[in-house]
Amino acid sequence: MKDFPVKYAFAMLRGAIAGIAVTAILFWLAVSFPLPNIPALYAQTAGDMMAQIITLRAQISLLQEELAVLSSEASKSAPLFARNLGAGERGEDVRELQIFLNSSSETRLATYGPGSPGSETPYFGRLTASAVERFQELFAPEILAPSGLSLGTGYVGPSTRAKLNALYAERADSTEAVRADPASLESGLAGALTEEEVTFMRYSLPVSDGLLVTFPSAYFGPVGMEVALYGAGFSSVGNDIHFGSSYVLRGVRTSDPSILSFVVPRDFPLGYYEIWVTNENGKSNDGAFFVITDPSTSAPEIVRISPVAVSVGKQVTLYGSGFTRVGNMVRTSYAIIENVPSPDGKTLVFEVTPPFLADLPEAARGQVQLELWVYIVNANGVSGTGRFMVAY
Amino acid sequence: MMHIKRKLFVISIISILVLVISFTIFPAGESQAIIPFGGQIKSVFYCTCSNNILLTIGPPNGGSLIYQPGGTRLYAYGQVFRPGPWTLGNYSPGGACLVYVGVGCAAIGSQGTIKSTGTSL
Repeated sequence: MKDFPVKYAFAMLRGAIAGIAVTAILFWLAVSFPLPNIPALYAQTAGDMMAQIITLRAQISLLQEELAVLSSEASKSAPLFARNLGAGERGEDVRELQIFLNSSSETRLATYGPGSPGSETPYFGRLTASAVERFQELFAPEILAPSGLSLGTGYVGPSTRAKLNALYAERADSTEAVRADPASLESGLAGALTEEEVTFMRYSLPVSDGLLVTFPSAYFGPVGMEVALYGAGFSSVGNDIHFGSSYVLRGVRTSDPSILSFVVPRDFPLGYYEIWVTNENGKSNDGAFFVITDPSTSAPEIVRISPVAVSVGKQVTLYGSGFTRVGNMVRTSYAIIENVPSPDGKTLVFEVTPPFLADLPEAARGQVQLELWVYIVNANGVSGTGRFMVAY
Repeated sequence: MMHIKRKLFVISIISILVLVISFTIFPAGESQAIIPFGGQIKSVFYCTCSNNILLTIGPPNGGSLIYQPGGTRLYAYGQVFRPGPWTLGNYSPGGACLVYVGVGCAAIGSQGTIKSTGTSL
């Protein structure tokens, strides 16, 4: 009886050590080897999953197209700027005004902070007034001259509103095809991600590595369209933007070393151009491109893909419109296939041979199912997204 | 018999206490950090055992990251399986690229699994 408390204490101590050891091992295992993130969709067959994805995406695309049309019609029927605006005013129309002014480098409110692209505010302050002044001076014959003025006032009165609304409607028309494109609505790299993420990318690019062009704000459009190149190493003056080896837009200025905005020149021929930049930092990388399109023609469109699931090495057919007889470029997730013909302009056939699926061991057979994305690039522009499955 | 029961009881109580304290100190969210990445795709490698893809992303903020079919959320333009396109996205530590090596599967090191990414065209 006398030594019972000591025995009991030892038992407790052993229990405590064992408990802590077991728990520590379990905890270490849980932290070091987390369970793989297997979505619930894996419980279904690949065919079921594919059918669901295709159905949902078709519905989303349809709704997006309807939304784009409705937005376009709404923007055409009602003037965006319906009241006079001046310093101290607040409202969503002020934010829209800032967004509109920020769309051109000549009238941009600021490069950083409140009022800069992506950080527009509903307050009409000093920066807005200054940008409005520059806008008025750009269109002085229409806005200022009728009132006998030569310098901008910074106040958005009837004549300034009329010009803003006219330009806004014009821009809505010229970009309608782009906005109606589901791929564009999903927005691509520049738009699908948040402003913070794009900012992260832009400002984390190393200038010491020289001149880089990572992606343009749009891959096709008519002359007169404003396009931004994202990258690094752009100089404040003296950037030459090369359109292939024959055409150069010289001396483009920017206040931001990671964005270079330009207007597609009216005297450049229509067509596909590799885009690169040269300046005091050297020559940028290859890979960026832009297609100058005729606004009266429609961009290529992928309506259907057959089969929706294809084995490696087999052919897939794209059905749609706007394909050119020769010179279609098929940009897939796994390769760029050039000069694919489309004799009827409605169908286009290519072989699916992803290099990274070549020479897989026999053990992998039957295990591989991947979704691939495909776009058609030709003289008419860039198609929306097509998707199909590849299996091995 | 009583001695064993008492011992099991003590072990259970202490285990529960330690687990409760552990989850309080290390909430689950902290082990699933979301880390941004961005750069040009340099190489693409299919992981034959884990059936996912190991991407090598170059500067400015790249690394070896796993594209998990069905798990990674892909944005336009979806050009993730070839060298060249620029990517921007985020990933979480964890996941594995396992490769068949004849008698079994071996792991190739990676920094994590991509949660979402967009690419250039």
